[in-house]
Amino acid sequence: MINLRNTLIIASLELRRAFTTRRGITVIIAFALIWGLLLRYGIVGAAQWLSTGGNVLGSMFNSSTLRALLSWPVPEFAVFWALSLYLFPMFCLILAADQTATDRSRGTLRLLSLHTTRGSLFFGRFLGLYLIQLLLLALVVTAIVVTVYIRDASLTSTSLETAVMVFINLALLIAAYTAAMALINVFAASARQATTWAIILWILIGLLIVWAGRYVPEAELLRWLLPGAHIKHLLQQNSWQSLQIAYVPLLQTMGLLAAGYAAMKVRDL
Amino acid sequence: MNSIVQCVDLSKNYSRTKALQSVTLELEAGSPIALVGPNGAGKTTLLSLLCGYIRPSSGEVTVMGQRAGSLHAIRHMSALPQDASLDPHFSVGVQLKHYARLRGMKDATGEVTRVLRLVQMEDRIAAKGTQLSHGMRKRVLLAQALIGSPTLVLLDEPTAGIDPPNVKIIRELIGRQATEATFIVSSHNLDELEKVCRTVVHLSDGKLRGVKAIDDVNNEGMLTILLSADSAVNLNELTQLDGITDAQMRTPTELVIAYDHSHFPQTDIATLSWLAKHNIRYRRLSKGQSLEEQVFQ
Repeated sequence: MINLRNTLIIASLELRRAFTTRRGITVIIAFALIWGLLLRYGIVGAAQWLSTGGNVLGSMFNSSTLRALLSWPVPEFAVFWALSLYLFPMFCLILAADQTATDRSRGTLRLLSLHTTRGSLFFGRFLGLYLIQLLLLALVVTAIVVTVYIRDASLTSTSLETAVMVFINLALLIAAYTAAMALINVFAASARQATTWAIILWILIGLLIVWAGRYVPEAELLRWLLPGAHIKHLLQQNSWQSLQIAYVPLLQTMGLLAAGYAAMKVRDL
Repeated sequence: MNSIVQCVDLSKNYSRTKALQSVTLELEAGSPIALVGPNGAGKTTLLSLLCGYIRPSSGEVTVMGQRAGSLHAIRHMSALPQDASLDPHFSVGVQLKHYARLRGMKDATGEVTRVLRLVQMEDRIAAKGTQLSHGMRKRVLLAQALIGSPTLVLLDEPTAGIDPPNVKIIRELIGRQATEATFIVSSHNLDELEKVCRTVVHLSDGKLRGVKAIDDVNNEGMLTILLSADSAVNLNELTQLDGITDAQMRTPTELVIAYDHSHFPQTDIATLSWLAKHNIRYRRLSKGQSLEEQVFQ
């Protein structure tokens, strides 16, 4: 059973953990430093290159991905798009790694389970860590909007619209990865183990699908079960059309959360 | 019957290990209940099943008529699990308030103050778990178990590894709170259990060996006398006293006497007179057997 009020109480404590405890603040500072460096030396530089000589390169290589990136109205977002579609899932493996695992091995989950239901615990932790990532994502996207404004104030309205489109797409992508980590957490004994298992599972399942696809071509369709399966498709997009495949991460998130909840209900604490 | 816990043919296996085997048990609400048995007896497994942490391999377990671990059951119960720890990133106050809010308490802050006062830890509300001694952490965890005034409180080894002053605080608290809730206490410290519990559930090798009342009338006709060191007792001469049927030295200082209580109810006085006559000093005399003797005889 899931108690919505308790789910929100648990999620709010996770936000408090992230933004008021030493451990949480350290993680956020590390995250901010990485994105600060990427913004200053990666995104700004690459955006200048894209807005000047990049078109020539795009036509030379005839890359559809590169051409899609070159056609973005705001080059900073084009570079951010290409980076974040791969980096945010990687950050998610770390930021959402500890949902219930440490509490299970420490016994805190036993204490919590006598004050609320397992469902509220599972979804509360998921929601809390998802909201933290959304806040961090919003922070990075806002920083890019500000950067664009400083370079060319006339691009502000276009930049804002692009920022919303990018935010929604990345929010959906992160949801699927966070749900996968929630499921893995039900079985892992620590955050590190959850991250390790996630990496191994992703690689192994990916290889298995490729191998199976050689014998049964339909098996290739199984890759749509894995979070991030639509990233290649997203790379070709630069507009609201990208949301045409929003159902993929949405369904993945719902499926993974349902599996995680079912496992959480029967798993020994 | 006001049944608070009911187990029917309850078993729990861990791979090939049979932690609990076909336990059928019914406990009534009331005075504290001791759960005793050696290591590996199944005490923690039984408590974990009652809390819903683990599920039975077979059989049924209900708490206050509800399936163990269900929302209806956990609303009225709480526990101090054996190896549970506080979250090291938050203060005692923040964590207890979190638990109180999850229990739906409107005045969560007031409830935290109340339970911390009960365990004499109200001055440590801002401390983190890592800043407290082992005994203090146990007291905070006990405070956690008292949030919301549950009807049933399960305590798994609440005094394990803690110093006598903390043991005394916990023991006295259980004694005081026993009128508010039914306590089921698992412990190896039988002396402590004897001071607060009136019913004993004895487990061994995963099986239920019996449920006994400490004040059971069958316990009459026994005397336990703790002698001063180096006291030599002539047991043959002692057993010549009227009514005494058996006398044994359980340890070098512990004399246990069995006697015919119905015909010779004054045997305790006669025995003390005999000890005085032989210049044998004693430190304590108690009627009946100790809990340890009752359980492990």
